[in-house]
Order: sequence, then C-alpha cells, then structure tokens
Amino acid sequence: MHDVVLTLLPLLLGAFLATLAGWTRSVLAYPVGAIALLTSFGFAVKLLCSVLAHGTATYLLGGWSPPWGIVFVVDTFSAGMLVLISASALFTFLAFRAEILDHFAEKSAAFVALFMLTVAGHMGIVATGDLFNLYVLIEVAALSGYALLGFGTGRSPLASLNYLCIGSVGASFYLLGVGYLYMLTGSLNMADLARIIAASPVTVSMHGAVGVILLGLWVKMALFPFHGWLPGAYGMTSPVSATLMAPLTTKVMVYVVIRILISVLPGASIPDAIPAVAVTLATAAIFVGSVMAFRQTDQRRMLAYILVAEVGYMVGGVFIGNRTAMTGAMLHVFADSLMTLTLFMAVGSIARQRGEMTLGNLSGLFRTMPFTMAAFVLGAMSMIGVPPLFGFFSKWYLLSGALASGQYVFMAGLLVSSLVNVVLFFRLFETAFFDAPGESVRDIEHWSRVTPLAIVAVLLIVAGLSSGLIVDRLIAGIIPASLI
Amino acid sequence: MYSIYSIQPLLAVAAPLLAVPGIISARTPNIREAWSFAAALLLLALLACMVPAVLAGHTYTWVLAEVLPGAPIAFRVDAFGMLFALVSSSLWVVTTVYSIGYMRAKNEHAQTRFFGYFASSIFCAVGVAFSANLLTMYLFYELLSFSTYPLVAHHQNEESRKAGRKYLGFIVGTSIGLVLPAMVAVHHFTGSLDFASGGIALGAADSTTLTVLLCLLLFGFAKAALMPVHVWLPAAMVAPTPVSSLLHAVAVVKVGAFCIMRVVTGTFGVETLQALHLNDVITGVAAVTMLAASLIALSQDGLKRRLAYSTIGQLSYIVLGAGLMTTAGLTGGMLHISMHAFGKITLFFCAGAIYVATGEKYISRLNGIGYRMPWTMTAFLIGSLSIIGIPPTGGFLSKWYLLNGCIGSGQWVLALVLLVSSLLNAAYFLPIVYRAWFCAPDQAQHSGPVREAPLACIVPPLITAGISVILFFYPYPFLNLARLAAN
Repeated sequence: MHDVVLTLLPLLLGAFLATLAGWTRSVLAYPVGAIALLTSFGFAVKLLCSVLAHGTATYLLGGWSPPWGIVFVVDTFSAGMLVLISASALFTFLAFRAEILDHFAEKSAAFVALFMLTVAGHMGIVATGDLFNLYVLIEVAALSGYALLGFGTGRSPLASLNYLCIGSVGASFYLLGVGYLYMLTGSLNMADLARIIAASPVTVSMHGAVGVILLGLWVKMALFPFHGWLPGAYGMTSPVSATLMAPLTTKVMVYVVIRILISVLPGASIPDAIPAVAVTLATAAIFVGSVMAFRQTDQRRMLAYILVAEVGYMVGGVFIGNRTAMTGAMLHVFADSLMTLTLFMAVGSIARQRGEMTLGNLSGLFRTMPFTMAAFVLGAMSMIGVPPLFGFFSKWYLLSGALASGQYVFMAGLLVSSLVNVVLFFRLFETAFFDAPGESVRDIEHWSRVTPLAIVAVLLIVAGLSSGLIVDRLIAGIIPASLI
Repeated sequence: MYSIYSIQPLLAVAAPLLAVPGIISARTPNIREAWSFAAALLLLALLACMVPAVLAGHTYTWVLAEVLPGAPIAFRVDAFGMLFALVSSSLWVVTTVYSIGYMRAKNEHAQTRFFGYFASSIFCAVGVAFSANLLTMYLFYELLSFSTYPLVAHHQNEESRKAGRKYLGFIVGTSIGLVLPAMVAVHHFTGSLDFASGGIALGAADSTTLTVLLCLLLFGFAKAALMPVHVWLPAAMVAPTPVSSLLHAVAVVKVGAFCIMRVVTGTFGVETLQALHLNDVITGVAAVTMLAASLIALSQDGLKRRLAYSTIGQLSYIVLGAGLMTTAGLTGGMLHISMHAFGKITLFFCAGAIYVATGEKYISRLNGIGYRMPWTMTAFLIGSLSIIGIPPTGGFLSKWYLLNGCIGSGQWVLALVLLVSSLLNAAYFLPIVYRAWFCAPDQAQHSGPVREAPLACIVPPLITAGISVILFFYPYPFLNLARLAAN
C-alpha cells in the first residue's frame, strides 16, 4: 500500500480497536494506541525520506483520478509536518501514560480512541490535496478535539463548549468560502483550482470567497481578536489534552493558510486589503498576547497567551509577502510546535506533582525536578529566541523579512514579545531556582516521563543547528518562485 | 598568512564546558575543584598549541553548522581573539585558587552551583573570543548573560535578586532589543555577518542608517557598560568577590568591549566609519563615560562599588582605542584588555581578602589596615598603580599606546581626557592606599600583629600583581598579538 495512507490508517484502525478494547478488555486500549502511534510515526518518517528522494508523493483515494476523485498530495513541507505531528503525539502519549490510565480510569479507552482520531484528523489536513476533504478533516480533528479538551476538572467542559461554538463558526466560514469557490470554478482539487484561478479574471466574488475562507481559518487558529477560546480551552483541560492540542491545532491551521496561499492562490488573486489587515491583526496579536501573558498568575494560562502571540508571529510572516518572511513563518510552524510541546510536557509533569500552577506553588523545582526544569529552560530559551535553539532561527527570518518589507511595527512586536518572554520565564525561574521547596513537597521524577521530554528538548538544539538544512530541503523548494 | 581548517578552536571553546558534569557529579569539594583546574589547564594547553601559528599571522577556522545564509555558526582564532582567550583562561586558573580560599573561608552555600556556572561562563567568554561572525558572537554573548545570572544572584536574598533582575534587564534587554535588530539589518545590507568580509560597503546604506546601527551595537553590547547602560555593573557587585573579580572585571565586561571592538573593525570596517566621521561618535561616548565614571567613583564609599565605577571608566579606554582607528590606538585598546585585567583583578582579589579577613566593605573603615594585612595592601598598591598607568606596571604601556594614538591622529582633546582620567584614577585609588598605610587604625581589629586572609586568598593577588609588573618589562605575547591584530 501507499505510504501516505499507511501514515493515517494505523491511527484510524487504532481508534477502532481501542473502542473495541474498551468494551471487552480496557487494559489493552493503551498498548493499542501506542502501537498505532508508533506505526504511524514510522511510516511518516519513511514517507519523508521517500519524498526527499523522489519528490512529491500523490495518492488517489479509491483510484479516482483528480479533479473528481480525492487526492492526497505530500510534498516536503507536508511530509515534515506529518513527521512532526505524529512524533509530537507519540511523545505526548508516552510521557503521559500515568494520566491517561488513572486520570480517566473508566474512560481511558474512549480517551485513547479520541486521541487517535484527533491525530489522524490533523495528519489528514496536512496530507490532503482537496479543499472539501480538508473541511471534513478539520471537523474530524476538531470534534474529537473538543471532546478531548472537555476531559478535565472544573470549568474545562464549559471552556471546551466555548471552543466548540467559536470553532464551528470558523469551520462554517471556511466551508462557505469553499462553496463560493466551487460555484465560481467547479472544482475542489487544489492543483486544479490553482490552474483555473490563474486563468480566470479576478472578480469581486473571487475576492469574497478567499476572504471568507481566510476569516474562517483565522478564527480556527485563534488569531487576535478571535483568540478568546484558546486560553480557557488549553488552560483548564487535563495536561494530556493540552499537550496534544497546543502544539498541533494552531500550527496546522497556519499550515492550511500557507497551503492555500502557495498551492491554490499563487497568483495575484488576493485583494490588497487582506495582507494589510492580516499583518495588523498579527501585530496586535503579538502585543495583546504578550501583555495578557504577563498578567496571568496561572502558568498554564500564561503559556496559552504566549501561544496567542506566536500565532501572530506566523500569520505576520505569511502575509508580509516576501520569501524570507514566508520562510520564517514556515520554519516557525515547526519551531513553535516543538517548543510548545516541550513547555507543555514539562508543565504537565510539574502540574502532576504540584497541582496548582501559580508562581508561589513552584518554589524549589530546580532542586526537586532538575531534568524536567532543564527541559523547560530549553523550551523557554527557544521561546525567547536564544541561539542556537530552534526558535531563534525562525524569528531571525521573520525579523529579516519584516525589515525587507519595511514592517517596522511588526518587527517591534517580535522584539517586545521576546523581551516580555524573558520577564515571564525568569519570574518563574527565580522562584523555582532560588526559593526552597516547601516542607510537604514530595516531587517524583520518573524516567518514563523524563526521557520523552529530554528527547524533545534536545531536538530543539539539534533542529536549531540544522535549521539551514531544514530550510534548504523542506521549505525553500515549496515557496513559489513568484514570491521574491 | 593562511587559514588552517582545524577542530582545535571548537575543542578549546568546549574545554571549560567539560568541567561542568564533573563539577556537578563530584563527591567531595576537592575533587570538584580538581575538575575546574583540569579544564582550565586543558584550555591553556589547547591555546598554547595555537599560539605559535597565530603569532605567525595564521588563523584557525572551524564551521560547526550552516544555519543561516551567510552566517554559519563558525569559529576563527585570530590574534585579537587569542589575546582575549589567553587573558581569560590564565586568570581562570588564578581565580579558581582564589575562589577556593574565599568560598570556603566564607562558608558560602551552593558552591557546586557556583563552580558549575563559573566554568560555563568561561566557556561562553572563550566562545565570544573565537567567534568568526556576529551571529556566533551573539550566541555566546547571550549564553554568557544567562550563565552569569545565577552567580550575580548567588546570595538569593532580596538585594541580590534585585541585582539579578537589573542585570538581566539591562544585559538581555539591550541584546535582544538593540543588537538583534541591528544584526538583522547588517545581514540585510551585506548578506554576511563574517568579521573578515571587509565590512559594510559605503554605498550599502545611507549615513543616518549606519549611525543608528552603530549606536544600536555600541549600547546593545551593554556588557561594555558604556553610559547610560552601565547601571547593572555596580548593582552586580552583590555577587561573591570571585565573580566580581573574574567576571565583572575581566571576562564578562571585556566580552562587551571585545564585541564593540570586533563590530567596529570587522562589521563596519574602519574605512567606512572614518569616511562618515562615525569614529567621533565612538570616541565621544567613550570619553564621556570615562570622565563621568571616574567622577562617580570618587564619591563611592563601598570598596567594590568604587572598583566597579573604575571598571566602567577603564572599559571606555578600550572602546576609545576602537574609536581612534589608528594602529597605535587599536593596539592600545586591545592591549588594555590584558593590562587592565591583571590590574583590576588584583584589586578585586584584595577587596575580597579584606572582606574575608575582617568583614569590612567600606573604604572609610579601612584606616590602618596595612598594619594588619601588609601583603594584601602591597598587592593593592601595585594594582592601583597599574590602573592609574604609572611605570613599572603594565597599565602604563596600554595608556602610552592610547595616548600615541590620540596624538598621532591629532585628537588633542581626547589626549587631554586620557590624562585627566588618569589623574582621577589616582584621586580615587591613592587615598585608599594612604588610609591603609598612613592613618592610625581606628578599628581595634585592624591594629596589632599581621593577620592576613587565608593563603589561597593572598597568593592570587600577589601573583597577578607580580604579573602586572612583569608585563611592563616583558609585554611581548600580548603586545605582539595586539600589534598583529591592529594591523
């Protein structure tokens, strides 16, 4: 069978088997999930190797040829994303074994099944070459995601419901826009659409369609001012769901925007107002996200607001409109996923020991959980943008691209947000480093949690040092030559 | 003159880092300190291997990773980098001896943490010295800021935490806020960040842009403590004295001055700056800082704070040397890195020894201390002479070259500033010496028989004071390196 399918199939099969196991022998659900994720990850790596060697891989679902059939198209960028998504899910799944098994004791099989479906949905979004299929997969990812985020304590079901309402509005806008496009062109296949759009005259209705699609995606990715759902949804749910969703959802939505811009609309069919509005919103997102992050006392909510700012980084990079900035945005999709994963994994481990994630509750962590905190420091340094960590290099391209296009306010936003991150993280480090842990603290650091975390944290350095390679091999070839 | 592609620079940079796991895992304090010595000697040996070729005018290079177009993470050992690395690493050996005496005598807490971060700070300093381009330098500069932070806030009380915040606020605030955008802009204009690329061509950017860029980089490298970004240095004096002596008199602050020197000569290029008369900006800022810091030093009663303001003033000598842009001026500036290092570290060692033996931190309470601590105060005298620039001490030579540089380019005002500054140096150091030897002890504990600090706190300042004198008669390794680099 084709590699593209083989990355998705184990997850769907795993979801099915985990549900079955839940009815008969629920202890089997976790191993089934682990095997499914591992297999999927293995095929994703194989796919990346083959795409690097032989170029873009295309798979016709059911053998129907485009534009009528559904296709999966995987180029170097999407293959990289597939590896990233499957690896991030696998690490989350392995590190949080304890939570998955005993947090949701009687529901753990259902949790595993939803976990698989969410990952499959996100991977499908990245792999598909069809706009309507993309919508379906967005819903697959989102619906199972809402349920996952609802697993949690206190207000998390309410926060998840809030997310469901806003997310559905976003998805509906997207669908509406795709509908308009279909009326105008009669096609849903990305490559086919690109050909038709390039040949047809630019009309107001085309602009309207593009505008509505982008609006829907901005809502889904929590771009300011549509970010309201994110802090609640990620800040209150169980650490497992937050660690799974935070590195994926917003980044995959940014991926969709990038994909549509470079594969469907490479020409001049975007109205001039959209990039201007997008960069303005992105800049506002960076400032608002940073200020709000500064005001949080709960460290998980603080991270959630940093994510809001990070969405601004990527959207700004995408819409600045030059090659360097686009490279920065694409690289930042990878970098932000990886550092968000590191930070959320570390915070998840800490929250399990300490409960509340307020500053006062974090004293002495460096002494009691040295490895977890070391990983956390690497994640934080990457967020701040310290070389040679991954986050520095994407920030470099973004700054460089913004300078080349004269977007000085956006540049200032990037720098201010880096500085705010210094304050945010060192506020935490000061308490965790210099204050003695409380009398009742009995922190445990288990190797099974530390190992995946350590691997991800070290990857931040490795990826940073190989960022030249990543840009060359995965990104540079994808950006259309028309973008200078 | 050719370039040798070799992994040696990377090995030398990594040598101090090798000590860190050893320090953390050592069972007893003696084994732990043995790791510091082993790493320091290894570093010195690796440097010694490269010295002959560097003195012959060759360079060593090594590329670690191609990360950005035109800006890899790469190392290059040239004469200037070698000079700075030699100063930092040889003084690391001496300071480790001193740290052992000081930290054990004061029974300081968290000594493992102290020695660990100390080693990693040296790693960063050597990394800066051997950076081949602005990006690599920025990398080590940032890492140095973060490795020094736990040392500044070592005492963990409210005062030292405040100092730590101020330290990070100024150092990281300027490096991210000013250096990073300037670096992006330089890359935008030239497509390269390498120091050997010949600098920004005259037509690449207009003169206003270049002026702004120069200012961003001058003040962005806040470790050089040019006014008004000097505020962190006096605050950082709450750290244990070994930190103040090696890091805040030598390694950290001179990394700042080193970066400015590199940026001026390597990134902008002397011709471009001279053509736009931007050297006046550099010398102007340096001259103001030099005089203002010396004047403030006069009024400081805290011994370490007075030394800190003196350091701020002396760092501007190096920046002044960069701004003079003549061979003599550059030689003087680079030479001052080593001469001031040996003088000032002696003074800090003495301040720490006094604190260890008597608990005194204020100059007004040092009357007659020479009776009790003659060796310490002798070293202090020699250190002061070197900073003032009186023969036979090394400090005289670097000032001589700087004065020559001023006069050679007809900068009479700057020559006058240098002389006035030297007088001010004398005015804030000699009274301390006078109090120690010629005033009757008004503290009971200062009189009576000789009771010095522990041996490990006395020998290091005597060694560095001795070297300061030797450097006057035999300055050749440093002088040759500085001359080579200035040409």
